[in-house]
Amino acid sequence: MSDPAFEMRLQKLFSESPACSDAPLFAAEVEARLSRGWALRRVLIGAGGAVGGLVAVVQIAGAGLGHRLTAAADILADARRSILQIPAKLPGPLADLGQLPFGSEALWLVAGLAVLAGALLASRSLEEI
Amino acid sequence: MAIAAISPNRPSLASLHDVELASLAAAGDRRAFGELARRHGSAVRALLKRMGADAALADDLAQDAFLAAFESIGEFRGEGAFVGWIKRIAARLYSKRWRKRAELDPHEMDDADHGFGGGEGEAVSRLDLDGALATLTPSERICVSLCYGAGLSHAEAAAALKTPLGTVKSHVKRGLDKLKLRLASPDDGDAAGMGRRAYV
Repeated sequence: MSDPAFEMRLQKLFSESPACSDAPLFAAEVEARLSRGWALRRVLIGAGGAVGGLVAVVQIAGAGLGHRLTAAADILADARRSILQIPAKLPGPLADLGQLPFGSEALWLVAGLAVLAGALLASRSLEEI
Repeated sequence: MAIAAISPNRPSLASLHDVELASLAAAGDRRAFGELARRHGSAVRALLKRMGADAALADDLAQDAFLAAFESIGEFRGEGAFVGWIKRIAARLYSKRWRKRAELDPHEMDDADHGFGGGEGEAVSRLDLDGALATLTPSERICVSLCYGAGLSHAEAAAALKTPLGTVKSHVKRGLDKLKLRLASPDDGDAAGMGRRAYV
């Protein structure tokens, strides 16, 4: 049969523990083990980063990255020329876009800002949901 | 809490509340966590000894418990006492070790003559509770300590020990009956005497 009074007394007895005289030493050992753990973690992370960086350099060097970058730049230049020729092919007032008094950089900038605004709007909408 | 973490004139760690220290520790302040270890290390080690660990094992496991607590200090929200939280971590660590030992020798855990660690001579002279706990079987002792020392429910103790709930309840019941006799105050003399005779 349960005896709440005795159970409370038992809990109280358990909560009364003798203070150990070596409490500061115990705390120092815990701190030392924490420091060792952090030092080891830093070494492992550093070593992991160094190995990863080395692997990345080897991969980049072996993959002919220079040629690929040149090819990618050519593709981008072609795409830019194609986009700039679009206004000339458009009918009516849209055809005048090609003759606007600002350069193509401004068009790119506006397009970029529009994309950012769209992304911001989408993220806010998701937060609201 | 946050003020203590950023104030240039930070008060000494000893004057801070456990929750403030835990907050500092969560921000990576190992000295703040060391202060928590200094405050509550004794309580954790005492619980582990009462569960049945010898002094060396209690020290090791208490340190492991504090390290584990530091890793998950973000989970401590200050809703309960820090000492209760760290005791539960330590108790679960000891339960895990106890379980492995029990798997190796299941009979030893129900044998009152073979305690699982814990120097009885040392304990008896310290506190009545320690002496009384030393008379329990290891199974009774760990179940009672988990429920009344670490504050686990019967179900949580059963999960920690990977033991059926009914078995835990039985161990707790038998352990409580024995402790009640051992810890009976002089005022309870008649009842305790009758109980003791009935038990024997």
